[in-house]
Amino acid sequence: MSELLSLAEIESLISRLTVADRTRLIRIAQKYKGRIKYEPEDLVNEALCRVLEERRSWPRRVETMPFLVGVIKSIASEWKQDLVEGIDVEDEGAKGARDLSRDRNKADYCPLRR
Amino acid sequence: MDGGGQKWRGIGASKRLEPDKVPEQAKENSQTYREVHREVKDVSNKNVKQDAFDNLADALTEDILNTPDDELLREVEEDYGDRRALAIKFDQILERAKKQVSERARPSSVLDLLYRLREGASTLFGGWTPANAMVWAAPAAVLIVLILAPAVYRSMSEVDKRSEQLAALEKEQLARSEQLAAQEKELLARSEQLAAQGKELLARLARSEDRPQLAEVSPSSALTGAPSEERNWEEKDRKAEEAWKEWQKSKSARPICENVTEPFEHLICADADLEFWQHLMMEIYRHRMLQLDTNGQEILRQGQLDWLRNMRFDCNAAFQVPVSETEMARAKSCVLQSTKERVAVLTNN
Repeated sequence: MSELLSLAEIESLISRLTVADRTRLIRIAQKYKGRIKYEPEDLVNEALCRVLEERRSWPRRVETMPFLVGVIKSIASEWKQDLVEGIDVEDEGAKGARDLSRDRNKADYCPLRR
Repeated sequence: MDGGGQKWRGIGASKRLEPDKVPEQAKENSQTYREVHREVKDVSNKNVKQDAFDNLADALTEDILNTPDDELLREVEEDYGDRRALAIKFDQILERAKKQVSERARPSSVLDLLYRLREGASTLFGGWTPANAMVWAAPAAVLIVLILAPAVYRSMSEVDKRSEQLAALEKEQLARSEQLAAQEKELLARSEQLAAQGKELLARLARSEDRPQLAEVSPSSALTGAPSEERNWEEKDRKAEEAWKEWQKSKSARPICENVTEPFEHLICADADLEFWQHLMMEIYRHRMLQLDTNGQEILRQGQLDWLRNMRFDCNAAFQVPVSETEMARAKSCVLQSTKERVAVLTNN
């Protein structure tokens, strides 16, 4: 048996998330919104996209919630890094900077739906 | 420290080597250091703030993960009016992510557009609860109808267009079949006409054979009591004419292609092409006879007899009971060719 979960297994585990766990994931994404101008939905969407596309490998030994929370935190950190240093994240240009940064690697992102 | 000191100087050392400007340089350097220090401090503060924020977010995440389910959902109910509000939002995001993953390489469809609209509405009007889902169901249905209407209209137009094409095709087929029926009718009339012409032709053919005989007979009978040659010939013509009329009368009483006995008659009556050319040849012959004087008529008559004799000789099978279809076909071809040649001769004379 592979050390990584297959797509079918991933889909099965995600579909079996309880109401409370699904709520937790959104709540956690909301907490990372803070200083970076993205919507919590975008963060969760991107995390799920990467997991479902198997761009984020899911080790069999890692449980569902820790893994998904880890992916969300990782993307939040990545997007924060995307904001070029010296640009005030509170500035109106921050969003544009982030968008530019995303355009640079557009193929790597699931498109945002606002 | 003079010359050798220069070897050890670092950044800004050149300014320190000028004794007159030492106070100014010191002031300037001090200012530079302050600016650099401020920048470092700002960056440091920013990082500290970010780190603090990250730590806070991590701590809150831990807190959320450790919150009991009931408490968490109660908080959600207080915030959104529905315990499942965020879970539903997650389901929507999951659905969207699945769609995105499967459609990464595919162009957006109408359904995708609808999905975007729904998402837009959801963002605009807050949480997607069953209650407002019902409220938005009707406008959504109207929207779907509006979006799909052009596609449905296009499909219907396509169907209408095809129906029109089929109707036009049917109309064309009908017109064609009517045209074919008219052509058949025309062909039938033509064949009947040809049959009639054939009968007449046969009659004239027989006349062309008989008249010379009459002409041959008449002079001898006319010569017996006639005082002059001219009167003899007049008498001959009169008698020939009477005999011709008698012959015609007897011939018209007998249908040519009914109860035919002679093989040549069979041949003529059985073939429309042959009938036509025989008829044509006889028409020309008759016409020429009316144009010529007595002498000319005699010459023409003699020529016609010669032609008939030669045809009998050349197309021998036509005048005998056919043994096989091949012989019959050969005889027909021979008579036809001979008739055509005779038509050409009569036309040129």
